[in-house]
Amino acid sequence: MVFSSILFLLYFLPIFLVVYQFLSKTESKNLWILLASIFFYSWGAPWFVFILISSTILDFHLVKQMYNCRDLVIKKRWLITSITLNLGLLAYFKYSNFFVENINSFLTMMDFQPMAWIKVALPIGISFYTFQTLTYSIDVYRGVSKPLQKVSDYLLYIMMFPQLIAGPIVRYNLVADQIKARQEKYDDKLNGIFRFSIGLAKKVLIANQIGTVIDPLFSDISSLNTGMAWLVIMAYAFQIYFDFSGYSDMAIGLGKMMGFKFPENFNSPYISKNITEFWRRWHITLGNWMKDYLYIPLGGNRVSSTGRLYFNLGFVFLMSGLWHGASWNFVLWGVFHGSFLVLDRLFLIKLNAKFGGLFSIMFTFTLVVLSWVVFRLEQMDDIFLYYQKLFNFSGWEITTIGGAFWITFCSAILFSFCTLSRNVRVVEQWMMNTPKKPIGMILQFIGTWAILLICIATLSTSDFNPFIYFKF
Amino acid sequence: MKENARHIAKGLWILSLILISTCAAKQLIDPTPLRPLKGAFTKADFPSFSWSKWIDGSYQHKFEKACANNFGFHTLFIRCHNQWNFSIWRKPRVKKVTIGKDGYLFEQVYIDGLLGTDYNPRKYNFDRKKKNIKSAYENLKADGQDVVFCIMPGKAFIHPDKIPDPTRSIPEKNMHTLFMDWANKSQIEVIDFQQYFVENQDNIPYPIFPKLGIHLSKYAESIVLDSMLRYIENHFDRKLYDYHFSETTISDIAQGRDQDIGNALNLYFPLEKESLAYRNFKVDSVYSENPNLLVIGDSFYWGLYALVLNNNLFPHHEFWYRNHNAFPDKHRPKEKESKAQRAIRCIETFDMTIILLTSVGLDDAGWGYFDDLAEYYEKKQ
Repeated sequence: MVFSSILFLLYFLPIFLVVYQFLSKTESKNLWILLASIFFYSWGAPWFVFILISSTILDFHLVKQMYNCRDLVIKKRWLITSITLNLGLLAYFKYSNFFVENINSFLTMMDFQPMAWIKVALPIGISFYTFQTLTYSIDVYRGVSKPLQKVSDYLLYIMMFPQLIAGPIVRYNLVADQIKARQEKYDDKLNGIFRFSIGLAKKVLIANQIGTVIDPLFSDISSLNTGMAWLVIMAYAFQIYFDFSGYSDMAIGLGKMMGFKFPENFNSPYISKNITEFWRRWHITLGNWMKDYLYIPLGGNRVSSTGRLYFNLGFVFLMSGLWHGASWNFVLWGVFHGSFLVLDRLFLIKLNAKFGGLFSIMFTFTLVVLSWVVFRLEQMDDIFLYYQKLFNFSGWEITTIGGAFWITFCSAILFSFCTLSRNVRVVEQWMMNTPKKPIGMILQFIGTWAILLICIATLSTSDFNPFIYFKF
Repeated sequence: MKENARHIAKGLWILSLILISTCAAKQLIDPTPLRPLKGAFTKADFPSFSWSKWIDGSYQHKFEKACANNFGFHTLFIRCHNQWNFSIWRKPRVKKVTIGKDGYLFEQVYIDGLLGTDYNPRKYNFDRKKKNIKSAYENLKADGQDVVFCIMPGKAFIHPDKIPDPTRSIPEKNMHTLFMDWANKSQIEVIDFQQYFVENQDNIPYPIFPKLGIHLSKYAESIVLDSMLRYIENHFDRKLYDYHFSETTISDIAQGRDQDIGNALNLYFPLEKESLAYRNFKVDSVYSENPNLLVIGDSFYWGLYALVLNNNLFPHHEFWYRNHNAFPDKHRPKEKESKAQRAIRCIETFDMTIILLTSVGLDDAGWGYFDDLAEYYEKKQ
């Protein structure tokens, strides 16, 4: 079930919210969220939900044992067991196919018989699930937070439907207190549904509309000329941004409707002046997770040599690439970004600064757009062909693109870059935050329903509704 | 927060809950759709639950589809969305339909036929089919059964000035000319209504095609019916029936299929009305020993079929829609016929066969009927 489906919008969400409204105690509200989340997850992954629940319960007890243990060595062993359990699930479900395929390619190359292997189906949201379970055990181990007392609360933290499937990655220490007790305000709920509707519009009115046009073009790369190749990959850059940030907005909005405050995941990433800044604005919760749970434990910036620093940066981005998908193109994508992070530290930031802000933004945007080629196309042949099309100057004629696409494309450009203006940033802040005056509430209410009605009308006639980030 | 603002927030939130529940509530209380949709579409029904279907995910998939097809007010949402696309983008959300000039709607296939964009002799099935048509045609004639082709016009051929880009050059050759050249050379009998309507459209006082329809107007249909019946009488060289048409009336309320594409657009606001001519077909008497008639045709025959059948003009009349289903139902064999059985029944039962099809579908004339007959005759020999 995706948030932008009729089933979710007009059946699941109303039933969930109406029942939630009538519950008064936090315990009963938590239980209702948990039940709804189990149903929500089992709708899309009916068999994996059992594995998810049992491994979560097991992890809860492992972490409890770890917390109660006074011996540091044994405590560390409990931590390693918990991490092994969680990473083991990820490794098996996400990476085993990739691993076996590569081994088999090597064996075939060496004239050996390939291993027999039945492909493992990838359960939805496993990458986000793993990162959240890891934050719980590591935060408790580090003493940042105390473990939860009730297994149902832990299940709630892990399985909460707004963020389980595609983030934002909510660290345990951020919501630990909110699970136990949270203050719910009607103005926050109103802002929550407003935020949800904005996310839905990003997904349905921009990302989906662009995707409908460019997806068929990606399957026929050889027919593209240089102009079309640039247009299509730029459109994809906007598609993925509005798709993913739209989903994050919806998750944050849903959280607000329940009284939770989830972290922001995007902050106008395409106005970044360098790749380092881009990663502070794009998928913020992943970047922060990687920094706190991988980069800093590796030594971070405080290392003896610059070589080690660059290795740490490169390694983190290699892992980030692999986290996105078990395929060589994602590894390449991680390497691409890691390399530019190193170049930023070496000279690129200083060099860009000499050319001014606008040039830096355009240069960084171009780099990001180029990196999406590797992200979008899985086959190496296609990737090389696409880069060839981008730079062989085979013609600039733009064909087969209808008028409605251009409106969507221009809107995407406008909404991606308008935050360069201070006035727009003020409006954006107003939209993201809960208004205190009644007029603000009424305006957000009208905005919510105007957007929701347009989105429902669009969804009712559209079959094209996939979420890009679901496969991670 | 001030008490006043808190009350407003609470009120707006409760109102939001009511609004978001409205569609589901409507479906529960009254599932009949408001202003039901028209046109061809498959509506998904709610599936029955079973654990196996749940585990393999098929139940969820079908359930989601059913929700999307049945939620309360969904027809209004669809109409609003279609209206937006139609009014702002000039984009009809009906497959293969194009908006032309002055409110004319076209099926794209007729524009392609007119502009020759579909003209590729090597692609046409017709080159492979004409041998079978000729062979079956001659064998049927030898068995005492006549075959005649009725070619219906495509809308774009009658209104080339109304297609979206009327400045495009119209080629001399198209499927229609190709077929007619061959039919003349092969001495195949054809009633070419396309040529008739193109040549006589200035003399016909009422629209041949409605602006919002795919098929001939009811008035043009009456001309076709009249010509067909007279042709049959001439062919058998005797009086078969007495009939007349009532006085022509003008109405802006579309009858029959005169607004079929317009209706299928499923817009929120009605389209501009068009005045069309109507006249009723009245049969005064039917003489005895009329021939048995088989019509193998496409959707252009539906309007005529009702008139022919309801007035019992032929003792045994069958309409095989695209050589597939036989109408009326009473003539449908209880058990499935083999190709040979069908061929024998056809030869033994009917005195005349009419192949009625549009000018852009001539490459598949007969929809396999002649291939089956040719195979039958070949085996018989």
